[in-house]
Amino acid sequence: MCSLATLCTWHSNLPKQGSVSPRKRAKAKGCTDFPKPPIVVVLRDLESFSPIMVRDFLLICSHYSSRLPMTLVLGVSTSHAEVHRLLSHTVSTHLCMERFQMPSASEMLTAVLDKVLLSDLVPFKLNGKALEVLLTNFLYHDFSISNILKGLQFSLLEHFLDKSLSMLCCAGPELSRRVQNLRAEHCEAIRRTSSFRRHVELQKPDVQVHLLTNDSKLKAEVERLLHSLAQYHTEFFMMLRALHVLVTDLPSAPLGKHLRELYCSCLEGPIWDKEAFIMTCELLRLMAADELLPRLKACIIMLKSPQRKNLQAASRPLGQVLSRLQHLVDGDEQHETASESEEEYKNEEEEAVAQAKEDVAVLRKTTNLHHLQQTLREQKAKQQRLPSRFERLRGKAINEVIHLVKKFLRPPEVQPLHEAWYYNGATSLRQHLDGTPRTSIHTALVRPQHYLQMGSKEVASTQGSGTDSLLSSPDICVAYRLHLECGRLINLYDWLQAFAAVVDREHEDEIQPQIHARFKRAVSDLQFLGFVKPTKRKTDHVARLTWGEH
Amino acid sequence: MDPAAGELLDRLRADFPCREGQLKTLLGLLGQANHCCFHSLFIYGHPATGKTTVTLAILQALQIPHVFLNCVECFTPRLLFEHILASMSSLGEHGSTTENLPRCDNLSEFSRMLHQKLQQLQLHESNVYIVLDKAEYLKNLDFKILAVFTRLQELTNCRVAAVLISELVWATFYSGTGCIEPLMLHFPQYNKAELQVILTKDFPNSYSSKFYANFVSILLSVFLPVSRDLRELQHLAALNFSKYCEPIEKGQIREDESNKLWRNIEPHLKKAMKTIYLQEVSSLQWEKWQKEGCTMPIKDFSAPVCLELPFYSKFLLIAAYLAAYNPARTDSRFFLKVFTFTPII
Repeated sequence: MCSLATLCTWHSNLPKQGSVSPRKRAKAKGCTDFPKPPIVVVLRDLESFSPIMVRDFLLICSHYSSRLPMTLVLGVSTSHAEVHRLLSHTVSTHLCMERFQMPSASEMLTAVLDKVLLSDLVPFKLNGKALEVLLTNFLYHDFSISNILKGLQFSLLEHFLDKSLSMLCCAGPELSRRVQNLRAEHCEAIRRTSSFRRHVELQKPDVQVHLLTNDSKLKAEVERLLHSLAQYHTEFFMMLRALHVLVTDLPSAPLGKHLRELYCSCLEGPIWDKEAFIMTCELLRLMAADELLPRLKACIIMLKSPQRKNLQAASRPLGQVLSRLQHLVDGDEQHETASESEEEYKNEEEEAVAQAKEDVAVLRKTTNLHHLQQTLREQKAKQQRLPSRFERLRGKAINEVIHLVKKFLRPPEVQPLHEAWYYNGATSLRQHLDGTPRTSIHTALVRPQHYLQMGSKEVASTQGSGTDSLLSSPDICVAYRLHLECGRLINLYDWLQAFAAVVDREHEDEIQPQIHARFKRAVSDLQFLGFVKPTKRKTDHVARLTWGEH
Repeated sequence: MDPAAGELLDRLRADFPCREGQLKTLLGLLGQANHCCFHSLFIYGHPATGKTTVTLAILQALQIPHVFLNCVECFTPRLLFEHILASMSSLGEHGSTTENLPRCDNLSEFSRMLHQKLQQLQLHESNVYIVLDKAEYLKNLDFKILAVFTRLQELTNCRVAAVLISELVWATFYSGTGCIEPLMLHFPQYNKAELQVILTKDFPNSYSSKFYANFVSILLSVFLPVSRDLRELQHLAALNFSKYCEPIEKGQIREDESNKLWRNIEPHLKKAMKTIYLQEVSSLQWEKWQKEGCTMPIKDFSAPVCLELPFYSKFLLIAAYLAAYNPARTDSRFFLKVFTFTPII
């Protein structure tokens, strides 16, 4: 018979370093008296245990604690106070508790996406719509990381199962090997891909011919394109993170607070055309120096990467503007006076002065009071406040940012051969992950042949409409079809008569006891499924519980 | 009382202060190996009053053959019986526990096998005790079991007796007939002075007992209103003593300035009461914080964890809450996105 005493004997008979993990073994080398590994018991979902059982278990464990080292892992999903509610003080004094708290669901999601999708190390990606399906499910419905993982696994499965191009979804040296091993039919499939066709159409005619007819030329081109796709991703994610730093804590966060929101809007289409992005730029253009500068600096730091020459070169103008801004804020006038922008500034100023003189001349000519008012208004509208030096530099910096965004955050759909790496089955993902129980039950009850494997003869008979098809279907289907035609309350006797009329046509005047029993069973089945319930409002009636479209 | 017994009593008295009366009674009951033994003994008292420790110490000191088991783990009669028989076989000189015991399911088999076992071990002529700790768990089993344990001698025809240890009084054990009223022994709860004496007993070597006694009285003044459990107080004393003597080791306060020491430790103890006493942080974490000397984030630990819900679940919850206050027929009016008024015919 099993008891903790048995476990204790087993534990004491364990070899000293038999089942120790390597890390612990390494530690054990230092100390000669190495204790035996403790027994770890994981109690998942502690709230569902009966308190008495947990109490007794803990008391037994504490009784054996001198002989049997034990570590309990108590999984609590609500709050830590639950442990105290479950265990009385006398029991909890036997425990030496240490609390570990999981980060919130949203943080976990960020961590998962960061590692899996927002990384250039994994070539497999989801397109905008598929990602949105997963995220909507998570944020709006279940907060379950395991469902997200399931969704990712499912999309991986579908991607590699269905798409012939998916064999090119890999990185590094493996890629060239696979490209070289492409067979003729694969080459044809590549030529048929829409993004590749678009790419070919942009080439010169002779190159086009080569690409469409010569397989080895095609392979070279495919390899080049895929390498550039990899590079695109590296730059894309760096730029994405840089932009995120810039916009994450803006008031009302038009582009979202999380990196994943920004990523989603980048996937959907060109982000620079989006209203949210334009609004963000407006907000940035209005920002004070002490808020803007740290953001721009953080952004530049994200873009500085010695390996990525392309990105670094592109971000240089932004860096220059930033340093000038910094000097301006620090009050370092010398740097600015010599610059050409200063001259521009002067020119503008002179122009403005000339304009003002002209205006005064116009004013003198007017005689009418009404006319004067109108001219004054016009002049006011014309007279714009001249932007200060800081404002112009700020505008320049924002323009540089927009330029960088346009260069590096292009949506993946415009990249040639993006189909190889991007999974686009949003519909099938939704179909497979979101169950629709009500629709399924409705289908099953209205068209039972959809689920039941009926013989061809029966199927033929069910093809017909009306009561003919009803005849061969199970009783519950008949009852269900009849109940669909009723209102809020259903008279049981009328229902029974209709049922009998459909099921048993031979005895029209009286209802057979068998039919009665079959009807009773069908109704109680429907009640079990939640379509009807007994009511006290009217005798011999049941209430219908479902309405509306299925 | 012979001199050997007197010596033993003195030794035990030093080990267990404030338990003199109980020690004398127990020694009187168990002390003479050739005396006829009682049919059963019932020891009761609050937790951490020394019931089990004192009983086992006496049994061990007198080298009386006995079996000890905790009734919590015997949630079926079979476990209980087999446990007793298994421990019984380890009493013998060979100490062979590996032998396979036959299955023992019911009381009659148990008494038969107990008799057999005692004869096998040549123990049927001497007093043998079965100590059952947390005897209140026996109530959850068949009520006859308790009756059998109160009259073991009669049933096995050997000099074997049960010592029942429980936190409840005997009155709560009454159920049905068949029980012989056992001898009662009460272990009263320690009062403040006694707690002071007992806690002072384990003073560390590096400090004088007087100094430690000061610390104990401070500790008691803070924690006594919430707990009289000796074990808890011992644990708290061990945990907080290092903090108490920290300023002395640093040389800021002399050992005899008890006022300053008190002012130093009091806020700390209050804080400890809030967290450790509720078991919200482990003593390990607590010690770590103490070493780091940081103002630890008590708030983080006593604040309830913010529960997050998915977007639609939140709405569903709110809607369910609101709907609970409305008549069912207004549901469609309040909760449908598009409501068109259609009179119900």
